[in-house]
Amino acid sequence: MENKKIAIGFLVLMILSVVPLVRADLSVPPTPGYKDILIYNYIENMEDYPDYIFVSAPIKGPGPSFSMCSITKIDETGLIIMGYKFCYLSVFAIKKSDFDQDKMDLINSESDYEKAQEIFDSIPKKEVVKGIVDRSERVTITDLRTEIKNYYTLDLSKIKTEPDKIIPEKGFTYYLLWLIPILALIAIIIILIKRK
Amino acid sequence: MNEIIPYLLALALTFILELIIYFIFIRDKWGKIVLYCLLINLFTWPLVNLTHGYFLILWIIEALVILVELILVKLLFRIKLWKAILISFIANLISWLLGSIIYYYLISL
Repeated sequence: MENKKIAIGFLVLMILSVVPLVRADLSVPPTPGYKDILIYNYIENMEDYPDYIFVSAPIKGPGPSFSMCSITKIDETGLIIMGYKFCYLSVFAIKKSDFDQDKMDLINSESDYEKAQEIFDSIPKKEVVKGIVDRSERVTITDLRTEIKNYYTLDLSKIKTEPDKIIPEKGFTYYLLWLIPILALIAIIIILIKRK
Repeated sequence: MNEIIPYLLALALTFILELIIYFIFIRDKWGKIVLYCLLINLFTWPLVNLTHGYFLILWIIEALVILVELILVKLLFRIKLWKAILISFIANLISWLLGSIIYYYLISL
């Protein structure tokens, strides 16, 4: 009986010790009074380089690299698809003549991540945007921004590390906050005029 | 739509706290006091939230709010200037200090 109690206690302890590890894989929920707003990264002038294909891929060093982040071809919208959390991505320009979709698929399906990196390194390419990491920003709950759009204007002779344009999107509340004082002021003016 | 809830909460808090001050200092019909206090807050409060953190620092905004509100209090309630200054100053001081404490307590629940 005593052994059974010890075994159950040990089991409970084991389960409890695993709980934080399970939680570690989830995004940290915002603390009260804060919220997360999404960040979207775009390439603005892809049409200036019709001979190139643009891909986002994890960079060596920080982040989980090819184990969790994949190579993604950037479509005509210019949106850079962010990978799993903590992915440090760069944007690479690959000449259409050097681009091989099968090779990209091979890299993404390769379970040996060093080999995946080797295959990727063998592709002739230019790094044009370096180190995109943020997918969201934690702000106070009264922040009027609903999302942030970063725009990169590419120049193939340079590596951009900062967006050229940052456009915060504002939601319904922002416009409501302009409308309410206008209506209130109209009401106040009407009251004052009527009283005279 | 949920993004508006913290604003409504903060606005309601500001309105209630300032309304208490209005009731203490102004002798008039209660409906009139509620309506005018509401209109004054609906005019100044959203503008504070639009400008705060963008291009003006807090104490300048608060000073402007006190100035605008004292003019509106004077015109709407037809009271003496010194009384309007007093009401506007105390109402904003209370709602700023007490309001922020209560607001952050409520938002953390």
